[in-house]
Amino acid sequence: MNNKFHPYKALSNKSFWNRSVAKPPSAEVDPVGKFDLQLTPETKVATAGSCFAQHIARHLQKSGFHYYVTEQGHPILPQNIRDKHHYGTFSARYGNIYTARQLLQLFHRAYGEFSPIEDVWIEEDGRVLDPYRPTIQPGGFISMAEMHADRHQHLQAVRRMFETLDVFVFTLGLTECWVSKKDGAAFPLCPGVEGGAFDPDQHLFLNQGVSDVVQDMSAFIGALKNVNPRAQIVLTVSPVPLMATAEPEAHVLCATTYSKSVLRVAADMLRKSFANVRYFPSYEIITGSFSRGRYFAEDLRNVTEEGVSHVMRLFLHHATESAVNLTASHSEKKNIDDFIAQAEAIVQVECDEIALDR
Amino acid sequence: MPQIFVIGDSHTRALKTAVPSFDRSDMKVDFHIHWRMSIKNGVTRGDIELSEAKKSISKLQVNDMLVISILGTMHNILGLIKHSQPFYTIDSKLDKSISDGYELIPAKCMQDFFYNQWEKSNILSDLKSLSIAPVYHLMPPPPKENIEFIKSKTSNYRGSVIDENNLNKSDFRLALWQLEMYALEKFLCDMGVKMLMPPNQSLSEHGYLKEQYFANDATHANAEYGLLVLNQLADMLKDNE
Repeated sequence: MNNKFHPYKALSNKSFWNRSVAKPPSAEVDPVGKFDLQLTPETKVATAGSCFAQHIARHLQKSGFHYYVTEQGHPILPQNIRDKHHYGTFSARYGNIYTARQLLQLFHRAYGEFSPIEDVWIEEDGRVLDPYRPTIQPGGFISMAEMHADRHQHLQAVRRMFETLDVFVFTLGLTECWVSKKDGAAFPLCPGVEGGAFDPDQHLFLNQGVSDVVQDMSAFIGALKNVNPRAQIVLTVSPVPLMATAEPEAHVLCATTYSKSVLRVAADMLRKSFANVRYFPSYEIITGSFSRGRYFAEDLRNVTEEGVSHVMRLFLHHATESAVNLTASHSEKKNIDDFIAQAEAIVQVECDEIALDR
Repeated sequence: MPQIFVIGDSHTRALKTAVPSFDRSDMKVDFHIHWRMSIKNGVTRGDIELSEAKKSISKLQVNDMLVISILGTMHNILGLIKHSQPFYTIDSKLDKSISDGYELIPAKCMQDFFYNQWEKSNILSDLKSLSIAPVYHLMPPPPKENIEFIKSKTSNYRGSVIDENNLNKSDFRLALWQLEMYALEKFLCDMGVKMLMPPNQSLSEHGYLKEQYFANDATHANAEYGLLVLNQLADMLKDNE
């Protein structure tokens, strides 16, 4: 037996695969490293990102935390109408923000520092869409004037959110995006998919690399600090695979690995570079082999409620002082067994990307 | 003699008071015009119980007409008096709306809201199912442009005191009425019910109710307006023959 000292001797269980991944019951695997953020019920937590971020918003709300929404919809509208029209899906009505480029440009647009040349999409049936949140308004806007007025109101809410939030949880979703050749404006969806018209002379495919993501996110983090010096940021990487890839000749599985790898590396680089940035491993919780794929739904893409619950249990456990039970509760297990409840939980998330495969 | 059976809310009063003035040489019509009874703040209003109305409706013949006028008043409920958190729709022509703290409600949101409210009630489908006569829904009259008139005639609307500052602008009220009519047209179409708009003669150049058709309150029309509607209904009955 070797009793010599080496660095691994002093490490805790979480540093060892067998002890912290292979052996524990899967529901008790906790891959969270250092995570010193503390939330109280008063902490204003805003969310943005890809569709997985909607789960975070939903669970925060359900757990009694202050899910911070600055664009709530008018109080005469009942909740079901506000839900349908995406008020409260995220902290403001920006829809899914899949890429770092989109987030940075949202900030610049909110503060009048960027006005994309491609300003509006008018569909053949007369619907008016905002190219930077084309699915936000079911049925579209009735006129350009309405779309501009709503955008103006929306960007006001975005500014209010950035300036007054305590914690910003951003879920990095994709590296692939489509941008305008004229001014680099990044679209959440390829033009032509859910509105607009694709024009190869106007639109360009961009697949961000690590340096692109780090650069965009660093610019965003700096800009946020300028308007809200006390803002804390939590980065997560969406475990949801790409619906489709536009990378020439690439298989979607390889494109997914590339995309998630870039985002994961970028998240860690950002965490190490900025004192107010933390990483939360929702990606690892969902995709880790300890769950043997159980956290993915039948389509191998959507995340099951059981997986989301695992993520949020750990998030709240680490981010709050109150003890949170690390194993799924009886009622949760009952729900997990209930296919319909699970399916409902899956469809509650609005994923625009799904339109890529229609 | 063919029968036109009208059941609705307080807006039926204009039609009922016009019946004695209805005099057409080309046709005779047996009008039955009723305000559905309801109790509000302990006061009973209306003149017919729904159960009684249903019995009458089930006796209508194919050459009769059923006219329902129960929907289409949300624009008044929401829009006559300013909400504590003021809102606007894009056609309201408000100036400086954002900086004044008004919140835009997109038209599609508002239309979904109206639709959602109507879907909660089965009354339209219930009444329609009882009738073998053609079924129409009559729209309430459009808003009144003259705010001074409204202020002078009404001090209270649905429990809220009307004062100098809390009435919404006429442009706003008209835009809301138009949105509601648009949504109601779709709703009625989905229900298989035909829609009857207010008579063209009753509308001003900009689409408001002409002053000659004002009843002495904020929202209702008078018997002269009611007579226009009765003639409109009679024309439709004739066309159906």
